[in-house]
Amino acid sequence: MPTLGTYKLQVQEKLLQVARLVNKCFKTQMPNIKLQSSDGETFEVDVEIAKCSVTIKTMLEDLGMDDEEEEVVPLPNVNSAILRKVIQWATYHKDDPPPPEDDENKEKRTDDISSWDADFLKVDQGTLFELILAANYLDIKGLLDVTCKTVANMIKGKAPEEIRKTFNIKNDFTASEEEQVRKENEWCEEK
Amino acid sequence: MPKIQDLKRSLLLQLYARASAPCRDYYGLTIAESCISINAWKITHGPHVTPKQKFCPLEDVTQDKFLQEEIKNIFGATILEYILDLANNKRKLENLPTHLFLNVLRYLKINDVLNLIQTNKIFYELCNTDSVWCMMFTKVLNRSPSPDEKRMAFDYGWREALKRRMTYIRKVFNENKMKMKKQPAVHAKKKTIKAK
Repeated sequence: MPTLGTYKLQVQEKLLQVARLVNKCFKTQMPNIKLQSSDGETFEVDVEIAKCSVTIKTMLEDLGMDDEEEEVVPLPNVNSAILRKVIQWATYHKDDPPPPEDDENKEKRTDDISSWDADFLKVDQGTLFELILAANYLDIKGLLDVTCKTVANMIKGKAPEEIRKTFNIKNDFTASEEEQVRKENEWCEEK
Repeated sequence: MPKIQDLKRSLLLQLYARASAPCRDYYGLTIAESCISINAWKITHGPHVTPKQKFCPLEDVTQDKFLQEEIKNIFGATILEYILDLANNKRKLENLPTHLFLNVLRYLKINDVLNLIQTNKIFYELCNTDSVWCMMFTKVLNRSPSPDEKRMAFDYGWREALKRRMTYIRKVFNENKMKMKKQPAVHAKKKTIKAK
């Protein structure tokens, strides 16, 4: 015959099990994760969205953070302004199919930027380059591709003087050096 | 704290210069993401001086006005500005890590790269590397280089290899064009013979 004490213990254990189960169900429904930027701001993000970053994905898998609660992922290389942009991008693109594998020899297109991305990347150049660095650090291929394409488009088809104006590059060649460099680089007159 | 190994690991730019006359000292400057190093070889009449290397984390450069002046005198104001931008975390196209800079160039045509080279001395150095031209080689010819071409690149560099390859292709292309122009005349002659 179980005594009242052991009975109580059994009930307590069952209750705990139920509580864990409920907790788990709740979590699989709305799993959130906290990302902390370099300047200390935390962002609560859907795990699925955060996982578009391969860096965060492997971090979660390696550390088995799924079962722990209130885990904060520190991202010391990304500041809050940039992290906010990255999350905004990832949220919009969360249902995208994974980008195709790179073929080194394939002709790379730069005119296939969606209008949403083009609007999203209408930022100052500092932010654009920070986004490239963040996409590289977080290993988000889609974002890295679209940011690099945007920069490439700023160079394409422009004369040296126009490129200087676009990127605020100071010309430090002397007149004779400039002439020499120009001659040196004339060899390719493609159709 | 950056270490001397970081120079190689996150290398951005390497420059060489000679001090203006009457000095004949040689200088080398290596810029990495978190540190720089200056190699100086002072040429003197007196006792022989061995070349010296000075390693300096970027944070220290921002404080060291003397060093800044030295860099400005030897390598120019744009190089000093480049280093200070890097130290202050001001991100620009030219101070992107090398593999990301290459990633941007991957989307460009050969003419765009040649135009970028002409903008200033920093881009001249950044774009005239073997990694850039090896990438352009495969891109322009749309195939991997053959062993022969690899040997040529080993001797002359990838830029020269591509240049020679393209000149050759253009020559063959033009010769064929000339032949094509001549050929109808030959056909015409044959026809007249047949007619006779």
